[in-house]
Amino acid sequence: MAGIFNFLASPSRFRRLSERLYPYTIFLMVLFLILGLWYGIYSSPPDYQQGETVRIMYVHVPAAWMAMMIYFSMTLMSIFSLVWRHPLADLLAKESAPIGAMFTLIALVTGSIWGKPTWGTWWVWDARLTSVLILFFIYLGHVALIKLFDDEEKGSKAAAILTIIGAINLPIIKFSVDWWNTLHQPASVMRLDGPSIHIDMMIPLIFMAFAFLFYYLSFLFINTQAELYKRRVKKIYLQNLMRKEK
Amino acid sequence: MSNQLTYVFFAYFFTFFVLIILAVKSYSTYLANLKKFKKFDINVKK
Repeated sequence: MAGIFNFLASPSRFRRLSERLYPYTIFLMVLFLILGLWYGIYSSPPDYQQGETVRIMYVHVPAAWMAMMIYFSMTLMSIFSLVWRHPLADLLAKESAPIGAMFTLIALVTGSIWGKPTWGTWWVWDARLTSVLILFFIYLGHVALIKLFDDEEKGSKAAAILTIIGAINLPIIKFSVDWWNTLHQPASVMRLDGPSIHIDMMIPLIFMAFAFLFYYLSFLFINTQAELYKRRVKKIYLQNLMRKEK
Repeated sequence: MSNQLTYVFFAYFFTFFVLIILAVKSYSTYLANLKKFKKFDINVKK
């Protein structure tokens, strides 16, 4: 395990690796997206109570899963950054945050669109919706904190601390539907006694979840490469400047 | 039925609109930085 972390500690090695990997992750994303949309929009049946609006689930639920999974990975990266000072951990957390914020926004907006025909309202201040909204603000806080500091290292450190403190929100989001009486339905897939959802609805849900996972990986690789190129150019520029001054 | 499909359409439209916007922004930044890097790399090698 330590060998993998040491291997990925070199930015140029990570850049070369991600350069090779991202075409494959994009291919897998497109493949799962086609399968997910085919099953989600065409092949899966409408719900006996909700009718066609149940199809919103195939974008809403995977987006909510991704919002939480990305935040969890950012928490691990923040710990790696603060404890072991891993050179790429800050960068990966920084590049994950906008993608995580986007998935949280998708979960909030599609949930709101689904809520109107199902609950009769666009929004309620119940525990699940409010805790996901807080997650969205924490993501925005992470992005803003890094930009707020002139010294990017200080900004990343502050953002890492915010991320670790904000991780307390993850179990609140997950168990809010069990701890409080909410309008949001309880978990129907990730349950100790197994999923309660029908297999015809489970298939598109899993395909879309993989499509979103590969979307995250693809654009994490692309954004990280872009940032590493930017840093390399800055380094070469400063080296040239110092050489000229000498 | 058509009312239900309108909600479904807007949920999917919003999702893919946001996904595509972020993808285009990310990839254009990547290409711009790669172009700068190649230009700098060539200058340094000269």
